Amino acid sequence: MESPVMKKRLNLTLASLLALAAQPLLVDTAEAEEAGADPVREYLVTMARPNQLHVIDPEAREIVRSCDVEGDFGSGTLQLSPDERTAYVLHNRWEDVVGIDLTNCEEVFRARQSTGDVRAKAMASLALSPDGSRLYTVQDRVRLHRDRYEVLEPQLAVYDTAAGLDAEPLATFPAPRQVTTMAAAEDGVLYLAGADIYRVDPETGDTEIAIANRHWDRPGFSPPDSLAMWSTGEVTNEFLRPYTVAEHPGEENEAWHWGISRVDLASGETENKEIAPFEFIIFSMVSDPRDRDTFYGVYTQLSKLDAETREIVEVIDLDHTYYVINTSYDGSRIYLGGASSDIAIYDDDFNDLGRIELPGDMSTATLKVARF
Amino acid sequence: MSNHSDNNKTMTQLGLAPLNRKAREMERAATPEALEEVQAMQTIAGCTSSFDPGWEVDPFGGVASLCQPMEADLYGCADPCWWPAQVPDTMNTYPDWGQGADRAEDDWRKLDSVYPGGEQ
Repeated sequence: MESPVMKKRLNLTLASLLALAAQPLLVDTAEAEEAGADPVREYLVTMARPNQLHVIDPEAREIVRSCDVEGDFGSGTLQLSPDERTAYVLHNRWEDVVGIDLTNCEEVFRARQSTGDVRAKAMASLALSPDGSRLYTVQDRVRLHRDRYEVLEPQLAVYDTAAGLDAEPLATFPAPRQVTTMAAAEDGVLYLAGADIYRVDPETGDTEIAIANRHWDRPGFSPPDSLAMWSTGEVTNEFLRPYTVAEHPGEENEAWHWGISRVDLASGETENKEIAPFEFIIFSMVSDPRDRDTFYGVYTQLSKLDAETREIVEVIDLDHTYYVINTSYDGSRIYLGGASSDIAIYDDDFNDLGRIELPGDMSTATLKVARF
Repeated sequence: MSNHSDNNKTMTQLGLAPLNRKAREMERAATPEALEEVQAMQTIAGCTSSFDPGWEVDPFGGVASLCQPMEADLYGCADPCWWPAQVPDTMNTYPDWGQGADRAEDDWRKLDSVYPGGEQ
């Protein structure tokens, strides 16, 4: 099974591990020290029950800061400001968006999406403009009448992040149904993961299909099946959604694959392709920042997939389910979170580097990587 | 919601298209008569209307790709109302169900039934 490609990868991995041993998780250390400033460090950020936002040092494997966020847990979807010092969390039973300064736990922003008799929740739909000035949600809304519920059309809501603790939408636009994760590209365009991946102009609300999924025209392939609940991709600056698909469905040579729909948030380039055989469930996936065609996936197993060879390179069983996967910016460490109450850390050869215990379950929360 | 006369229709006749491997298998295997056997699993419980039977086994017919253990996934499934499980609706009706049980792995014994109107 050890192909030349894998040997090359192994050598690269060893080289990067040696490099990592010298400077673990410090970014631009020498430059920062020369300038007399504290070195930039890499932190993990996540939400956990009952209502705490945790800032975690993955090197020391300890919680650095725990911020109480007023309101009930849920969903714990996170996005970071461009300077990575403010986390925006979808909170209070999927209704409020709260901005928290990660350096001091101060609440700097709050938008209550439900108003009057309209209950609005976002199904993990949260994004920030590249300059950090605008925050976007897709609101699924229900009007609560005395005798019935009236399902309203979903809408894209635009907020000013400088609006403080009682933010109201600057604008709203009709939005497609079934949208979950979303991200803003460097040119300001929004990408929404729904039945297809949509491209939305947040100035006008104009919406088009960027990557066809449900509506793709691929003879010989079934429609894809996908799950997108975790807003990662900050490390690689991409918007990624894995899917499963059958090739030649119902025929003798039926074959099932994992595939990815991906938007490069720097260039806006889109991609949709099969990357490996479908042999186990994956809840979330990220690409390796050193090699965008290497993917890591997690659920009850941690896996490494090679899109070039379309092979499963490595897979290990985990001690329990994890929902969300992320990596360090240098790609040498893999972080697993969500579901239960511990964050697992592995190196890129899947050696177990330890656990970080949290006081509560992470459930559906995102696990973000922040540097400051 | 389907009425009784729909019970003898195939899923295709009901306008349901199989989306994943298991659904496809169900359509191949199910006779119209057998559909009635899964009626109870379509009951809306709590806040979820998920029609998602078949999670007794994973898409490959085994159990390796199921939640493991159940406690690790309890809130992750209950919070988004995804789980067609018999747990209270924490999203709207019983937001305090998990109060004081922040780590399901340790605290699952504290999770109790809920009673309409708060009756015990």
